[in-house]
Amino acid sequence: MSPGKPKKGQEKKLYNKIKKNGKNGDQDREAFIEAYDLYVDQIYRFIYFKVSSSDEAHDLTSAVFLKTWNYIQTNSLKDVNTLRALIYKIARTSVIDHYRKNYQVDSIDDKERKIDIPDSRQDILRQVEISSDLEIIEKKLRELKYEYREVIILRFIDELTIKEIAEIVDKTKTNTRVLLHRATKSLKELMKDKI
Amino acid sequence: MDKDIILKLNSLKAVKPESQWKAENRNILFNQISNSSASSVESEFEFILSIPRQVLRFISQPAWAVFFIALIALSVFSVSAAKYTKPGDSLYIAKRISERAQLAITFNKEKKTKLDIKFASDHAKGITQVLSNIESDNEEKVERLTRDFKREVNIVREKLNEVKTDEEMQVFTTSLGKGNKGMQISNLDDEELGIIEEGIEEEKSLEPAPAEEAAKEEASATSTLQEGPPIRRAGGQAEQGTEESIGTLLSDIEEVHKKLGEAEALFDENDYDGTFEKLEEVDELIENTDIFEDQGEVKGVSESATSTVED
Repeated sequence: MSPGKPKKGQEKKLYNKIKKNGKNGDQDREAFIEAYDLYVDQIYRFIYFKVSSSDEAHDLTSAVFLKTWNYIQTNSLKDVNTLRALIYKIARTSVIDHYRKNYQVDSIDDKERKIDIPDSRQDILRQVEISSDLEIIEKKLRELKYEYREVIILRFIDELTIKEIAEIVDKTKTNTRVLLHRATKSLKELMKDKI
Repeated sequence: MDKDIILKLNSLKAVKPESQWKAENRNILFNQISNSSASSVESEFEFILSIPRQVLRFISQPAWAVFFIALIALSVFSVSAAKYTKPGDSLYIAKRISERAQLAITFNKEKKTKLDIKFASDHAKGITQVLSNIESDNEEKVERLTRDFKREVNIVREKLNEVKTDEEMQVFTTSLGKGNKGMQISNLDDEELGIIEEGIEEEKSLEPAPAEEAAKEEASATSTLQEGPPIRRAGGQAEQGTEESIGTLLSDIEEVHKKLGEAEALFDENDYDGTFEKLEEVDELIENTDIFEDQGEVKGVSESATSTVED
């Protein structure tokens, strides 16, 4: 299964396939694994920017997909517009539970961790440049308030629509727009103090 | 937002899990869901088959049948008998349980608020009746009942303030338009108001949302974006009739607050009979005013619901 942004038709097809079989039925495992292939990168990234290490992000990502499967087993999907929204919601709550369990307030202060850039075809200088830019933006992102960081990630990195973000964060579209505006304003201010 | 910042954020898409981890995790997940599906299907099937057998065996025994009928009859009798109990009576707990059950099955926000106020007011009146018959040297009980009374009065106040806030918000959302249903305003600046209005225009230009989408939007959160007191922004487009009826409503609510204050003052002076009468006046005022009556166009605009923040 190729990574990258899932096509809308593909998402809908998967969602309908999984929903159609309903709870307590023979869930379509193949469809769910297909959904895993579609969303794992996004979910991992979403969690990664909220926690302090890639190990934690790995563990939580695995847990999220299993929880999603268990959720589908015991609930109908009538209150969820897309499978993606459901998985994101579960990812969100899983991160919060993770913080509560480990008494972590925020994951900002992991100065040791560097960003892994998987594409090793770039030349070394370019890699250093990219690494530096990415580190700066990631550092600033992590300095944002939790709810601001969340909507920035969903909008500008995962490229979700306002409607989808509103569903995930459980706000109205209008509130989400205003929140996003405040988040981008805040990030802009932080980026001014680059050094 | 600067294009440069957006580009940099986009570049963070490079953050991905390793392919090897993805593949391994995929296999693990597949095994996990295969195992969980098989076992849950088997156990559920057995469970479903066993239910009718168990139930039949149970109810076939006459003693149990009689017991359950008696239990149900007793419950019904207790609930109706508990209706007029006061704090300290043996059936008072049944009354409280029945009130909770009533609240749980009331989904309309307005009716629920009205019920909350009625119950809190009844509790407060019950407390004054108990206090007027209690011996004054039972200090501990008097202190506890006093605390309970204050709490019940505060509940009535809070619920009335909720109604007041809802009315103020309805004026604002009516003037701003459909897209802002249920939004609590708190220090929005002009830029943010512009974003909201842009959003409304954008939504108007799109196809109309299907019925369930619109219903979902209506029932969704009333969220506070920032801390701070809600600001009433009536806007220039509110209908005059709407503003007048809201004004009457708000003054009715103020009147109730005033009477509650008087009831508390009488309570503090240990005039429990006077307090009871004042609370009766509060009840009468709520019944006779339009606080919970349908306000026609204004009420029809939205039924904002308070959300709970997802944790």
